[in-house]
Amino acid sequence: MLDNYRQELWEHVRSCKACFRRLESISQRRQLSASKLLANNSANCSAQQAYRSFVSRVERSKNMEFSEFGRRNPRPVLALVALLVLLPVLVLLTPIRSAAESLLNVMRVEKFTAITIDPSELPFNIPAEKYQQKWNQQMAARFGKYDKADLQKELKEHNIRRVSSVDEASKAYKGPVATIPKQGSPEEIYVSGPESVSFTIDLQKIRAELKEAGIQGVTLPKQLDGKTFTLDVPSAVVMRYGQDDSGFVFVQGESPTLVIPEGVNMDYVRQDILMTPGLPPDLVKQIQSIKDWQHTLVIPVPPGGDSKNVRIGRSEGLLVSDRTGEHNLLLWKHDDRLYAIGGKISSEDAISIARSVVYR
Amino acid sequence: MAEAKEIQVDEFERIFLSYWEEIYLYLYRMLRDSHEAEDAAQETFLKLYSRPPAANSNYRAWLYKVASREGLNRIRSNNRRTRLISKIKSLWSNEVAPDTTDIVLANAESVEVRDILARMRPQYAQVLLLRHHGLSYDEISKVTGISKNSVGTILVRAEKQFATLLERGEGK
Repeated sequence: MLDNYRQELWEHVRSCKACFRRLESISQRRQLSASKLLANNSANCSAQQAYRSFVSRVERSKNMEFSEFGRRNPRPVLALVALLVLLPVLVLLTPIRSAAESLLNVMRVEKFTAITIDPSELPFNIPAEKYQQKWNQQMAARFGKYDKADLQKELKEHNIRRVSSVDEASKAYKGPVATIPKQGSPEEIYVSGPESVSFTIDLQKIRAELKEAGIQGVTLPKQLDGKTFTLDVPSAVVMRYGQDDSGFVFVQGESPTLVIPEGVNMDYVRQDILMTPGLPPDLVKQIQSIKDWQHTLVIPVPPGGDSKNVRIGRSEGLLVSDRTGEHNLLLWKHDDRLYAIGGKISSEDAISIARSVVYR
Repeated sequence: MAEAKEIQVDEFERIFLSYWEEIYLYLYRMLRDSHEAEDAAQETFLKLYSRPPAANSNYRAWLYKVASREGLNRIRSNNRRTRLISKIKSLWSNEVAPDTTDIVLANAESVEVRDILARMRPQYAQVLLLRHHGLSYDEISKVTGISKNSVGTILVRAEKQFATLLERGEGK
């Protein structure tokens, strides 16, 4: 039957000038691409020799096994987990969060970009609701009902001091502090850091912390085990406006710097992670398209949320909104400092407030 | 999702020896450099070794899929292209002897092909390379996930894009 069909098709092509020309054109292009792609086809590499070379490579390396956690579905967490656990004020007090993971490989933040992640597409078990619940509990502990004594202790541990005025903040910050005059005085002002944190990747410990956060099915590259990263976090100022869980925070500070230990090539680690089977292709594509990723802070957009670039003075800022549009996060850079406004605030208000900031 | 299995050493060796040459050749045609092709092929098999696919997978299709991604990522790397161009520029200096002209031209063509592949839609580049490497439509479908009925159409489009980009390059 197929032969009859082919015969019929060929008869038609022979008789139809347009189809014949088209076939001719396809044939010419096929020959052209073949001539180019198959040129210089003189490569030779014996399989036996290659296998010996491969075995030597594996034996030399100590990093070829991945430590497993939960299911054998390798997933990237890495620096983001360490940063989420250890990075103070700028991350912890930002009300907008996503339950999705992102690949952060920030050496120093110069700009921002947003990526969209749908947690349901991730190949491991990340119970988003449970994680969000835990996050909400932590936020409530900080801004809602909390035990003052516990909070004070926690703040002290992270070198976060509450101050009573902008002038006091400037003294503590050791520099001029930007303000939002049209919003009046903030309800609370905190100054954090500076802080230098060295953390040695302990895969077992990270595993335990992920488990506590309800994140399962994560595999971390063993080559990172025992490696020490240093995170230098300059001072930051956080001003809270509004009551309880309404209102917003205004954060300012210089960029943290993450020092990658010798022997860890983050380019390779990043590429390796992006090759993980099961990663949504769209996510991989988004992350690969980030140019200058070492200086770009990646912000995950919550499912159903939105993001856009907005002009704040001379800088290009990033606005990220949640699904409802009621919670927004606006990030931008001015001179050498990073700024953020985030909370239960409309996007228009966030932009308007950001544009009204007075830099001293 | 099916659990990935542990791969036994003797099975891995069998797979390696069975598919090494064709994967290496495929990457060589893409990368046009024997050292880089070997490195990329090693990386491909390393991934098989460290994270084998699920049980009952088609190893050949899996290897081509991973090799395609590895190769296409590399040809998009500006660093490599810059080095090749520098190499060609140095060959074009006055010290180039007449009998190295063929080498220079071959290198120039390598850069051209890599440049074109880098600028093509990834799916088109992949289908084009797989087809010219000798894979059937059915095999291409298994590697890329494209339906078998669509492979022919995409191949035609890929060849058209390749020809267009080639023409633009020669017109410069």
